[in-house]
Amino acid sequence: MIVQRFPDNLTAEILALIADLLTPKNLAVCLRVCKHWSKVFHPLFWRNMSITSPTTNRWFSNAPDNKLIQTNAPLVRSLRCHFFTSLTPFFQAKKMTNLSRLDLWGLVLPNDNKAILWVPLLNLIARNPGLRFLAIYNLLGTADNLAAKIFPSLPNLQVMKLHAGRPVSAKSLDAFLMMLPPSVLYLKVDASISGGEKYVPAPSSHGPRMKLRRLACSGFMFHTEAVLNSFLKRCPDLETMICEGTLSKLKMNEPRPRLQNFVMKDSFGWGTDGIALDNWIGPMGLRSLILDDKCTFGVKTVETILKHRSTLEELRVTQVQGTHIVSLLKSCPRLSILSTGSKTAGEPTAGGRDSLASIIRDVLLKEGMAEPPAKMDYTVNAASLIGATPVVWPCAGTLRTLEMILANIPRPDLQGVMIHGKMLGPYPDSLWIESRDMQRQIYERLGHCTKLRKLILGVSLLRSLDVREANSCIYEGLEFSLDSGLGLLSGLTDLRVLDVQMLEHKIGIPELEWMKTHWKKLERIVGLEPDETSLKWIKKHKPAWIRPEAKKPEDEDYVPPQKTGPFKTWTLGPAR
Amino acid sequence: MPVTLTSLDNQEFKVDKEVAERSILIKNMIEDVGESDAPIPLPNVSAAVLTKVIEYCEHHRNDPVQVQDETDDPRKRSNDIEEWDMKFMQVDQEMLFEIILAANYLDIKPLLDVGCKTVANIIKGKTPEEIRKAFNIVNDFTPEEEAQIKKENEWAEDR
Repeated sequence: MIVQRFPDNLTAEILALIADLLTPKNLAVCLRVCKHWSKVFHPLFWRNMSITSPTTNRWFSNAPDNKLIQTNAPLVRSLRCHFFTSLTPFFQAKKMTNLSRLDLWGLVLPNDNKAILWVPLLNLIARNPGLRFLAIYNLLGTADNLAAKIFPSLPNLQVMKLHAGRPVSAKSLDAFLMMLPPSVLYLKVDASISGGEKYVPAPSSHGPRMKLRRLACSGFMFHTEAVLNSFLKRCPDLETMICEGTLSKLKMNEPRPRLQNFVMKDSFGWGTDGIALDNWIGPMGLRSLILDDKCTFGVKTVETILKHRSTLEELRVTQVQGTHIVSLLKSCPRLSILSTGSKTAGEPTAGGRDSLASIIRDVLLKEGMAEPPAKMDYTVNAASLIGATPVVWPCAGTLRTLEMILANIPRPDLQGVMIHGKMLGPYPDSLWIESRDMQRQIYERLGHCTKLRKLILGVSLLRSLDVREANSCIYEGLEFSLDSGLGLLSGLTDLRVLDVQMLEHKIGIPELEWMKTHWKKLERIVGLEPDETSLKWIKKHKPAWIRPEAKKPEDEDYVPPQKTGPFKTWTLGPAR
Repeated sequence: MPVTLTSLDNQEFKVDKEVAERSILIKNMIEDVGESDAPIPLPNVSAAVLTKVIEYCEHHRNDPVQVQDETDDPRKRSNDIEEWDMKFMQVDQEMLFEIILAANYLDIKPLLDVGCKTVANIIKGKTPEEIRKAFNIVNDFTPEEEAQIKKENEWAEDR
């Protein structure tokens, strides 16, 4: 029996999966390994053609030889190139008819239909009716002009991504959406829209019914609500809506029958009326809601969420009051991710000062058009948590991520804690019994959540709340000591991350030993400040889940981390 | 309720249903057959490989089910591998490919992904000579032939 070796031991399908993870350069190297590899990797090398290097300007000279292109064109499934490549033989390869994906950068569209730049592109698209994925970055031309030319040839398109390099008029956007092939399942538009305030969109009855399931809008989209609402009427299958940018006036009056997932980021002031969300979510119920700190998160929003508690699976939000978190925990039977104030809810934006939404907020504040954010208490009060919720939360069997600040446990062992600059405590010794009883009841509740992977009760991920300003505060949370009842968490066998940052905890050697024994899958403890004896233990046992804190760099060598610019949605670069 | 799996070499493995159902193949089999004590034969997987696969499924038993989404961009997937998975994949090459084939046959998408990423990472950043070494391959090109291929694909060098 001949034992087959790589790459012969794998099927063509698996090899294609591997090839998709490699760059053209990696694959070019494979061609040179031996004659056999050369043969096997040849079609894989040509499968994903990337004729653009976004970092260099060598797009023109750096292309394969013309003859090679002509011979191998039928092997190409995915082509990524700069639009100017259209002048090279690449676009003219008559045998390139098997494309399923095309990514184009820097598309300059002339209005002249016979322009030399147009024709090769139109021909290429006409030869590839099987195209399912089309992405255009940095469109320098009008969106409706593009749509009119290419969409009629794309009956099988499923994914359309458009990033406009110049402002697009609302009228142009409307026409673009009207012409979008009904087969599209995912549409992403990243553009700044101009002239929307006066434009009246065409009636939705003029366009076809769309199969669209997922819509992502980003950019500076003022006054485009009418256009979007008209489009959405034609998209009854829409399940997921992602908005990044200023869509603060997105009116959501009509229910979307299948809408279940909603993401809103960087849209300052959106959500002042939680009823809007309620109006939009269809009979399928809300499954996933992600709102960043730019959305105003009011009582109405909470009411809407609670109305959908039977379907809610994922909630990542900032600015939720502790009392509301308690309500959610006691009433959502399918909840899997409850993350309040996480970085996924709002990308860190250097203190919240740099983001586009913050700039707009400041302007609006000056003009008296916006309310300053109210001070709220985002901590979950331990007493209310045990008072209001049953010992087994309805979500105990499904909860995988729990992120909240749990505080206000009397801790006579502490000298007193600072909250928002206010000193609490010290507590009298007489509170020991109450403290331990309270902690035991909390451990009991957490102990039933056996699928928990991330338990974040510290505040390391809270970036946008006012706790950052009061950064001197330490929360009087759970002790995480065996004496206080840590042992009740032995059922959390799936736990990967425990975050106790900015909490007063008492994790010592017995606790570390206990965690090592019971939490076999533990990958990380965040915020642990071991004393000298624990340090010795850590040095001896070297658990992978405690990493020594990185040394702070010397000032002169210190390079500050790169900030995310205010206009990051504008300069969507090619993803590699 | 535990499920019994039988390997190619007739070894029996008792695993929780939840763990076994990480394999879509097994999940569908159980759904088709209904509740039954009969062992499920897996004639394509040896006991050694099945042990590894079960270890993976045990660790990931509570992972959310990945929904196959046709709008996903395969090239956006990062090559990052979770720490545990990385350690799990530190096996000899023969076992690595056996795991990939088993994951493909049993239809365990996340395991197949990790396997493919591991192979891709072996190839990445290597010279042809380093790859020959890694896979124990003899170069049968003449220097001229190799130079010719290199020249043809030079344009791909910076990508």
